[in-house]
Amino acid sequence: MAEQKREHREQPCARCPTRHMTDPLTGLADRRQFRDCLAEQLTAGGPDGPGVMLIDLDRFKAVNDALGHPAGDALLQSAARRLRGALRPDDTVARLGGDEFAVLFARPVDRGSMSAIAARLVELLARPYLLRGQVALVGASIGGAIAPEDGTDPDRLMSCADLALYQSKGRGRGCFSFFAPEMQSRADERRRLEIALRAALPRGELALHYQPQVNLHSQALAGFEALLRWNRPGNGLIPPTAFIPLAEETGLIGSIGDWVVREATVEAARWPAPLCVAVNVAPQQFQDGRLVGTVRAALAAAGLPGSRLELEVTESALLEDAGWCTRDQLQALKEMGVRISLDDFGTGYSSLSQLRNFPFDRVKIDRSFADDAAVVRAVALLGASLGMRTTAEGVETPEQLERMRAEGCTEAQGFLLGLPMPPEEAAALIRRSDDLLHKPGEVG
Amino acid sequence: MSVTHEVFRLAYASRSLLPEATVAEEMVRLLEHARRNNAAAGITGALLFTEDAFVQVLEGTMEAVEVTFERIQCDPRHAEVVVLEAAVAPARDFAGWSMAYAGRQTGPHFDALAARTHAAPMDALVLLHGALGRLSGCRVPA
Ligand SMILES: Cc1cc2nc3c(=O)[nH]c(=O)nc-3n(C[C@H](O)[C@H](O)[C@H](O)COP(=O)(O)O)c2cc1C
Repeated sequence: MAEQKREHREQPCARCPTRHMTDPLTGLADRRQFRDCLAEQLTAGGPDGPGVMLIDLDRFKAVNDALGHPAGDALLQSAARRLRGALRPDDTVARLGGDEFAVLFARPVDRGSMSAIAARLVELLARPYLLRGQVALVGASIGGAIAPEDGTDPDRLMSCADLALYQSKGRGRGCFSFFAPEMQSRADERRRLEIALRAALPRGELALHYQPQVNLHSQALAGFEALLRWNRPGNGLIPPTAFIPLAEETGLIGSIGDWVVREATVEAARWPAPLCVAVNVAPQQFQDGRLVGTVRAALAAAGLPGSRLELEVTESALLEDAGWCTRDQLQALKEMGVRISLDDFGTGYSSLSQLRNFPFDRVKIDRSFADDAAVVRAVALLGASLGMRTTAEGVETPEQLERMRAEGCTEAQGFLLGLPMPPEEAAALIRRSDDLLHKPGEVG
Repeated sequence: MSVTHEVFRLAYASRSLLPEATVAEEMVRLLEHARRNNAAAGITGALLFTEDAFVQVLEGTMEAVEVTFERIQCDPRHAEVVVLEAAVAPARDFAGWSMAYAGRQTGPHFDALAARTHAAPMDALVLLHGALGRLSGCRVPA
């Protein structure tokens, strides 16, 4: 099938020397030829410089993993043919590497027409692929830049298109973005943030705050969820939403996650039994395979029984689990007595069937359902029938608290019951926890 | 037509981008072209054309279906392709139809089509219902 349509083979662009550097898999131009063509057009260019597009296939890795490399290669060949067929013969189409493609328009394009072409390409590349009888779905994210506004030097123009591509991915993929100057400043800021975040752990700038969780039946304090804070010098206390995505993207989440487990278990060991500590675990922490060892060592070092540690995983952690290795690790953790809870239930790809895929100890109902009695009841019922406890998140009013109890939730957390607090305050709260539910206004 | 190979069947739905003004002529051209190609590649199947959507079934060897489908995928005359079924089938449902046509026929534009395709649209529709009815959760446009 690879041999099918070789007539679409890329010709070197008209202005370029006859050097013919092609990507052997797709027959498209390769990175060097693309850059040469771009440089050539930029020097030859009149008032309207050339336009460049960078295209990334979304979820290509998942297809490669699930269907194997030959199928992945076949998909790249089909994607290359779709691109080639949708563009003018004198436009340069290249595969820069992996699942990254690029287009150099032979004739001047304005922003309007480039957007229109990009929209077509996004749709075209997202159409299903049939690979040896299997259907594969990928998406496409595209970034564009046009000379001379965005740059007049080939590397500069490519890096602008790359920043625009990054923007498209950040917007949820499957879309097109033009380069805009603020992307450069945001990328610079991101780089500074990454450098600072790398230093945060060794400099002791990370801290855990603890948010109370209350048993709705006994009205007693059940434990705390450990939440990460970053005390960035000159920037105050930074919430996790502002740096966890970056930590995940840069792989820093591994060492930060290890630290969180160690720190939280040490703190929890100071609390009276049976108070528990709940720790969030990012999907990547399962991927490097260290988590089970880290938890075992942390429990031993802190002298905390496994049953007083709860790990909160999100549905996406399970969905990204191609080889079931996340489930195996969760199973190993359960065998150490550690509890596993499904976090933010109801967001993302949520499905009730997810609850049957693993014997969770607990399901935490996302805060967005705090006022949705029907959902809360359904999840609490299903949870109970599967032997799981249910925590209502985001409880802010006494009415919500009462409703959660009535609908069958076993635990609750939220501003009403206490904000995340530094360890000293958590310790103080434990000392006066008896009347927590009776005078919620005094808490936190 | 290859009889020694397993039959692979693919069904998809897509949104038509055929311009309304010339839709009948375009359809005739598309079908004639498809039938010529399909006969040569040993592909059989049916095409259903409703108000603004296509549903198509392609049957043949896995390789032939794959090549034909990928070509159809690149076609700018439709968009938003959704695969309904892709699986080995016990036998062809449309043996003898290099591309049966069912769906829009009424209106002046389609008189020419009806005259030229001389297919029995009701038969094709019945077969399509049979083929698609096996898919769960798929509503067949009537
Ligand atoms: C809804 C739809 C169904 C089509 N069905 C077929 C088909 O069954 N067989 C086929 O060869 N082409 C079919 N085509 C046309 C192809 O997309 C493509 O234009 C044609 O195969 C190109 O043939 P050529 O390479 O001989 O020019 C279809 C197009 C559309 C929009």
